[in-house]
Amino acid sequence: MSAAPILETQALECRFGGLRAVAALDMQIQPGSITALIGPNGAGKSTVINLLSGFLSPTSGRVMLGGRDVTCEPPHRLARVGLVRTFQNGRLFQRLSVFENSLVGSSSRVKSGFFDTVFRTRRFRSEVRALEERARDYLKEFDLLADTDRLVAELPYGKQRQVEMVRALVGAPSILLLDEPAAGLNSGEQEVLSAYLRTLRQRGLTILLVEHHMGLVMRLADHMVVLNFGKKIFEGTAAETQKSPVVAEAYLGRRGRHAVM
Amino acid sequence: MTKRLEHKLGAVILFLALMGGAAFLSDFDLRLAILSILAAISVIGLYFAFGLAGMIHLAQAAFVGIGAYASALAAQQLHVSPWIGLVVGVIAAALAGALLAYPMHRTRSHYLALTTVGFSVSFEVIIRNWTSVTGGYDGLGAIPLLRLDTAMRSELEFFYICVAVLAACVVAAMLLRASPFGRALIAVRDDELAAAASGIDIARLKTKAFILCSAYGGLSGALYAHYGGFISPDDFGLARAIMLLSMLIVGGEFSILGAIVGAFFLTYLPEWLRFIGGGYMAVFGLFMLAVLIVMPKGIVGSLGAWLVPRVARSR
Amino acid sequence: MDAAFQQLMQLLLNGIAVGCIYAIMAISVQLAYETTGVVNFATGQLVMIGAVVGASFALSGRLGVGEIYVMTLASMVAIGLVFAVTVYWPLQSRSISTVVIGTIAVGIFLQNIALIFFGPLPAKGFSPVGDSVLNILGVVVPAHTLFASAATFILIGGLYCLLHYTSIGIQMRAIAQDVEVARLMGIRTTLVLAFTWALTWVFAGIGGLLLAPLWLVDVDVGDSVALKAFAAAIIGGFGSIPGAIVGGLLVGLNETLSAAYISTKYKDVLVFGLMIAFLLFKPRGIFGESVNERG
Repeated sequence: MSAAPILETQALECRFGGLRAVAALDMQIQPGSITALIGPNGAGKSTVINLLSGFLSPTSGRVMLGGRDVTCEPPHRLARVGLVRTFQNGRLFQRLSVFENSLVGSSSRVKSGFFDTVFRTRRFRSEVRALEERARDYLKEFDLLADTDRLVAELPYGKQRQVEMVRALVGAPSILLLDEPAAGLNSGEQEVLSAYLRTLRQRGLTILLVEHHMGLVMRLADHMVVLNFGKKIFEGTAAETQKSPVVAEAYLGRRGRHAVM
Repeated sequence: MTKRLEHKLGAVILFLALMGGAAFLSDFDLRLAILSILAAISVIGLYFAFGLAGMIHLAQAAFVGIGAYASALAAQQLHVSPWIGLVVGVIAAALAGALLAYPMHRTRSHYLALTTVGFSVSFEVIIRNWTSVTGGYDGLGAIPLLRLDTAMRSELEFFYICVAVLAACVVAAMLLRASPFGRALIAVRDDELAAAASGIDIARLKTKAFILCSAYGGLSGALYAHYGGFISPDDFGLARAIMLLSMLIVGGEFSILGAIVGAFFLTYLPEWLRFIGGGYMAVFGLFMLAVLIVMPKGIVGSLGAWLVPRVARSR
Repeated sequence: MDAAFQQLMQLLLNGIAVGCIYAIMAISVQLAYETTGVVNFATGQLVMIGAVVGASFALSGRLGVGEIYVMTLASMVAIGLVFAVTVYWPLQSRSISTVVIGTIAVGIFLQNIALIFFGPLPAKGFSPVGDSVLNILGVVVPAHTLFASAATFILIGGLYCLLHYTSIGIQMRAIAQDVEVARLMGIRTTLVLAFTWALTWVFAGIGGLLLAPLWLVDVDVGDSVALKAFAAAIIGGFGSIPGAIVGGLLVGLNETLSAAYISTKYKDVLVFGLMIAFLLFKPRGIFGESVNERG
């Protein structure tokens, strides 16, 4: 843990009325790592993602990105500084094609204004060309080039999630927050996802994912953070997490007395 | 490739024929066409604010009015050419749009609609009562007319000017629609959360769309002022604003063509219904309801679905 | 009695009366919004129909005041149900903008149908207490002013009892909270919604009937009152009956006091400006519940 964390939370707390969804969370994400955020249902994992990506404001505590305090920044500004997220079950723009959906991901990189757009100046044209090229490159990686002009609604679920991933990557993020990226994927698709996330890590991207598929997560993650009832109860490597009795108890309950999850 | 070229050539020839044919129309027919075109320009603006950005905007007529009065006064009091007046009108309307847009960006659907209604009515009251500047109820007359000094009848000449302006507006709109700006607007209307996560500054985007809408409205108003040489508050109130938004919804809110079709249709419809007599506006109301219920995507959207089933996307 | 004080008292009492009427209209708007989620932009025309139908029955000269009221309201309920079935029902699953334009189209239709049946000439409304005038502490006040205020409080009191102490009222509130859950709990939502619609029209109609004696009514009267009814609902706060009263009173008092002391011409701009300010910065209004709206 010697390098400075790229993303960290300090005493992050989020209350809804009397309910503490996230309590006193201290978490450090190292650059270039894959961190998994796990925990039983209702542990507060999605809330953490929402807090980190600007969709929720914490009641107290701080979020630091690359040493900067970004606690109250709205989502679009976080995307601009390189923090991009995906959504549970995916959220795509139904009225746009696959290609257009991908292009929207680069919205934060567009500098042209009205004048450039209407008069199609050189600045506009070269900017658009660069963004379209990047989108096509990513679509090619996912083998989606044949589908570029189709409406996203026509694609099978697995491919839709991939389009969402392309959209996220086109924005050139430095850190990706993935909310249950494997949900609804069959085992073949999960393998593809795992492999791709490893590739992204090799390219220097930092990844934080919330996931329920334990097998996938155990093989993929460098570091795991376990939540229960909004609090961090354990963190460590995958191997350490598997052996931890604290984690087992959170998932399985005290032996014999609670239902197995 | 040649087939597409054929189609484009065919469209251009058709267009030129129509323009040539216009020379045979009476002044009255030309007037209706001109009014339709002017409405169409405003409604294209609404296409950005409502069709793309989803803001229920019931104050477009006020911005048309701002453009009209600003241009008229500039030409009349400052003695600038009406052509410069057009620019003044656009800028005045756009500035007003900017002033109203920013506080409004966080307001939603019904509340947005009510805010714009409140603005429309307030604007009407102010225009009617600020007699020293606007002439009040009696309106503003003796506005210098926009003319090119050709040999044509003034009505025909103005018609061609309007067609040219409309063409420019349509081209600009299409270029904006097929750009990151246009895509971002559709994205925001589809899914705000995903749009924000993709780096779109929703507030700023909606403000831009609103300013664009106001600018189009201002242009329409300025042209109108220099067409008849006379404007009055009756033309720029809530009733007119409702009519403009209805044109977009009836024509097809999701396309520029829908804006134009709606503008022409709802300008000509009251004329067609006039034979009914006193209650023709009641039929108009019923008709609008019928269209809303039966053709949810407007004329262009629904006809498009029938004619070209495979490409029936509501863009 | 000092003349200026007299004038002030008259303005206050008139303002309160007008305010009460605006409060009734605001409640009509709120009832529709609470249960169906629709802001009924035709509210002004509903009020107008109440006023004009009532005036027509009165002009026929053959009916007693009570009968006029009953028949007017019955007509309104009938028309309202026709519209609920033919217009609101088919449009209910559409986008909000479609519904907004739909109610506006209904308003246009109603206004012009009224024009056909009643003609363009304004009529003098009548009042159950006639044109009599009272003298209170030296201040001369039309009896109808007090009647309108009293009627409003009785009406609103009645509504409150309905909502909190009767079974149908409780069902209405349940639907206002969450239609799906209410349906799942066995509430006959269609019937209750129909009842709510009828109530919306009745309130608007009563607003019109009470308004008619104060002003000359013609088919255009809807436009001028509609926006003020909305302003009252917004300023007071949606979802709150006390809010409707406070909002209505504020708008009504502004009507009379601003007209006299500030400016007759621009008094409306004041109210609308206030409404816009609330919409932009405090859409909950003074008393309103938190607005959780997904556009």
